[in-house]
Amino acid sequence: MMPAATVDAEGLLAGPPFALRDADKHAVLLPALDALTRRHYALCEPYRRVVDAAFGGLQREPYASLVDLPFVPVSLFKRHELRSVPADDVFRVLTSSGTTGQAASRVYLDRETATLQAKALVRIMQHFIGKERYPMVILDHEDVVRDRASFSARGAGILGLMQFGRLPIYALRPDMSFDLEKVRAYLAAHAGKPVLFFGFTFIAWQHAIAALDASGLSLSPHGGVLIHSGGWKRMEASRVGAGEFRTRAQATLGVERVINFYGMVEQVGSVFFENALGDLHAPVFADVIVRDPFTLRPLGPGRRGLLQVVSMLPHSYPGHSLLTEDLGEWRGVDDDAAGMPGRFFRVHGRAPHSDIRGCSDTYAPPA
Amino acid sequence: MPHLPDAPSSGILTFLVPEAGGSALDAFLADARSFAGPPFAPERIAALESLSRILLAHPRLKRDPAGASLAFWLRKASIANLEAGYRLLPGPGARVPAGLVFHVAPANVDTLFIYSWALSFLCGNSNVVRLTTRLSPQMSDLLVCLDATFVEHPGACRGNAFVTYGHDDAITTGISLACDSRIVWGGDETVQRLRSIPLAPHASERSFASKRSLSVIAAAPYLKAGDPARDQLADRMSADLAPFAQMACSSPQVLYWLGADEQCREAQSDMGRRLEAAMAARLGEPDLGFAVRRLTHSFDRAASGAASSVNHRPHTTQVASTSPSDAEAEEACGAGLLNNAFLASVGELTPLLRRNHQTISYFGLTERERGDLALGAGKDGVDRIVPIGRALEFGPYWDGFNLWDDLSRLVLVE
Repeated sequence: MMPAATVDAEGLLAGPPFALRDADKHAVLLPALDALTRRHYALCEPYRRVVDAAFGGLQREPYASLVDLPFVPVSLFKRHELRSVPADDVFRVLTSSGTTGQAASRVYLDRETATLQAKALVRIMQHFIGKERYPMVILDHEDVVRDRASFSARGAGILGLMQFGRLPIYALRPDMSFDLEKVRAYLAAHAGKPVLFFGFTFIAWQHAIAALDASGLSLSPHGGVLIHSGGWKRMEASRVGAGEFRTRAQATLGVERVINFYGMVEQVGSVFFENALGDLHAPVFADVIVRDPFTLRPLGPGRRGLLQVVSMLPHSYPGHSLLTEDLGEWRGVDDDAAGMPGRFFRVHGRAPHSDIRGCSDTYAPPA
Repeated sequence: MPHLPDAPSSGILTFLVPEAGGSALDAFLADARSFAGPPFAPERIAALESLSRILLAHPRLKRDPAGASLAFWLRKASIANLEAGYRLLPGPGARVPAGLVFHVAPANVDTLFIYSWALSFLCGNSNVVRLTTRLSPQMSDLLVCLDATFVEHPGACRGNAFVTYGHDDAITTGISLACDSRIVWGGDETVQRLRSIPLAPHASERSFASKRSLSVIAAAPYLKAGDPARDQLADRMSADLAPFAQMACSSPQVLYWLGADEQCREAQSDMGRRLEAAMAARLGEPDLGFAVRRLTHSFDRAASGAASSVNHRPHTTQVASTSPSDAEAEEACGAGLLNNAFLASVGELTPLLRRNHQTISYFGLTERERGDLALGAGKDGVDRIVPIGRALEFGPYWDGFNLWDDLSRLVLVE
């Protein structure tokens, strides 16, 4: 076992992102998360209060297992200013509006955390698409990334991924219509080269794949890959499964590979990409735990519960251990069939929001 | 089977019970009042009895605690009790129906519109009951039962209608100008908005705005009680918490413990365990959405500094408040969450009470303490002080008002 003092996020980030078997990975990850827990406890008052109230305070001795670490619900970022650095050190605030009408999460990044996130993403992307930068088509429109000081989750995702392409273009117009001439011209100019497509799952589906399909059109780049992410909630409503998404994306966009990843604005960088089994795979600097929503006890493989995601990247805010509102199950660990060591899991959608009505207004018009 | 619209747009009024054309409102309002009759008429009592029987035969409602309570409340013996209370009302003269009563029903307590209607129906009134356009499955079930009742008792039920429409002031104004009494079940915003809509000059209005409720348990008597008594108390408390996801105005959101801190702590911890078991027995499988809601709410309270401990269980989440003064959250959570706080005596409770507090459900208070509480608390706004387990029992005395008076007129005879 490596001594904890010699490894940190930097050290782990320098190596390959899927190289360690679970036990070896935890020898690095656990001390790093232990240190982050203590750091945020000391520096972020609302986080300290949560740890005190819900976990009986910090454990005096080092945490013996990932499942023993305190966690906070992701929703906490919607209601509280959670940061462990002085306001002056914040250089970017990420926001996510989630469902319409709900408060937005606010995630405070300092330069160090933003750098760690960028490095982590580079490691993961290079593992899947190599070091070369390909021509890139973003299945979205440019207005999403206009304001560079405060990003929506969608904007942050696009900007994060954009660095992996060469001369990226946006395929959609601001009215979300597909700009076929622009994309065709771009592909013609880069004929013979593989193309990287990126988009949020539902937007890619609705405004690119299904839109092209409906007009009987298809693009024909030379190979290439579609990387997509984002909730399947709206996809479920359109009753499109992962398999159909893949085959129709291949048919319309002309890509060879379609890779989904799971990530959230509260943990940018340590994203979970699909492995050879089509499951989502934890990189060395992150992991996933599944908890019983009723007892909060960790669950074994194959059992559905709330996903908890841990990441050694968040230094400027206490987002290193988050209980999400997503349901999922972890399916295996260090399995050769997955193509890489570590733990992998599946997401089964968002936990249903209870439609609880208070002493409620039945007549007053919606505000 | 009434026609249940998916999402009626504003401007369209739909008759849910009895079924009729959507344009029939004017015709209905024109002669509804003529079907008003004497209070507690045998045919009206018989109609409610039928409704009770139909509810108990409904596959879902008969198993639902709120449905079963409603059926129990509508049975013959219970109505005889109501009538006895009505007959004892003071007044030198004759009580007659108010005429046509317009009920604006709440969305948080699915059964309440039937209680409101039934009291008015017994007084002999004609009624038009406006329901939310977002009908819950339980409300739809109740409407099916009402429709069957109307079919069995067409004569007794004439002049009564259950309708739905969106936020349309023109329709509300039309009904308001036609009615003699308007009963509005809040939210505050609904009450305020309805108040700006005129009534006929002789009509009156009773509004039930947003309310909150709480429980008080004296720690020493609790700790003195044996296991069966504690379990029984937990079961009663679960009856106050489980229906309507704890979002009825009468369901407690805060539990104040009276006594020395050490005793309060021990009693709270013991009750927390028993209450979870009682809720599990009452509700069966826990609800995922509720659990996530309780987690979000309790961790939020902790991060704000309002909670010093959080104990999350399958059906309940017990939150210990940092101080009694912030035990009540700005936004009620419901779904099985209780904020707990410790007080040395009943006297410390009254400064925490406000005009929008409705029910104090209690255990272990002496008669004297209850009397003190009624005087002290009542001046600040509390309307009811009842034993734990009876918080949700609806009656003609509600929010400090006598509904019999709102639903009838007294013809003075000397």
